[in-house]
Amino acid sequence: MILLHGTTRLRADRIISEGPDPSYQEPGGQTLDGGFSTNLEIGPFLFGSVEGYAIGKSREFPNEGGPVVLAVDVPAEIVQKAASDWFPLKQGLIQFDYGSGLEELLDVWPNLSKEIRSVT
Amino acid sequence: MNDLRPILEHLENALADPGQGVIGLVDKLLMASRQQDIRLGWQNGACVLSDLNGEQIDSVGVPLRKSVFRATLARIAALCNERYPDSVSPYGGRGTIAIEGDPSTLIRATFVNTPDTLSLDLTAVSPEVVSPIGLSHAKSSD
Repeated sequence: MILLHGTTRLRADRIISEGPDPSYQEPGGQTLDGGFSTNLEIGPFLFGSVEGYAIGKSREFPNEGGPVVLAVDVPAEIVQKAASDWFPLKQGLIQFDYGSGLEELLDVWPNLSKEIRSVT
Repeated sequence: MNDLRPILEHLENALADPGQGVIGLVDKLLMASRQQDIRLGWQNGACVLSDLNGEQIDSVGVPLRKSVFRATLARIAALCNERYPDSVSPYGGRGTIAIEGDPSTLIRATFVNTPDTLSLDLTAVSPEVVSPIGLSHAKSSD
């Protein structure tokens, strides 16, 4: 299943090489501490567009190479691990947290197909 | 000070029954805000309910994942932008949400969704006080 994550190019490059890092500290020292949020490529996009998140993040961090969308092909069984009563697949938002699919995602991350898509 | 016990009970019930996911939780919050202005924050794994003067009333007793609260704010942002595109950033701002009904209601949502601050104010407003020109575009960082 193709999952999308809106971010900056610098962060997308880091995520591709190292995997999602919920403890990542932003410039200024803030810890994201929020797991790894993605949306099904096929939608729905009930929480806003992935491109909108990328643009918003790029505005806040203009030295990070501009907005991009990171697309990752994740096995369905791992996507299912992230599904819960709060985050049913039918709502489109796939939220990987510790205990909810993040460990499994990190285990297979190096082997997943990934690409960076430009946002214009 | 307004009596927030009814909304506290409503929120506790909503958090205890995630049957409709985050989308359902947001719908319940918006319906509750038709009756009572509310302020929600997230501290130490739980929702905190306050009045709009900032006086804490009580903590909701149901633990809540931070990601659920953040997704709630993201849904609020998406609803604001449905009414007026780009009126708010995913990371914060102020916008309005229309709730269909008889009568229909406009809810003003003011929120911050950043790594160090998660907050949401919901206030019912009269339609005549809200216009695209009158919207604030306050934005915050992530």
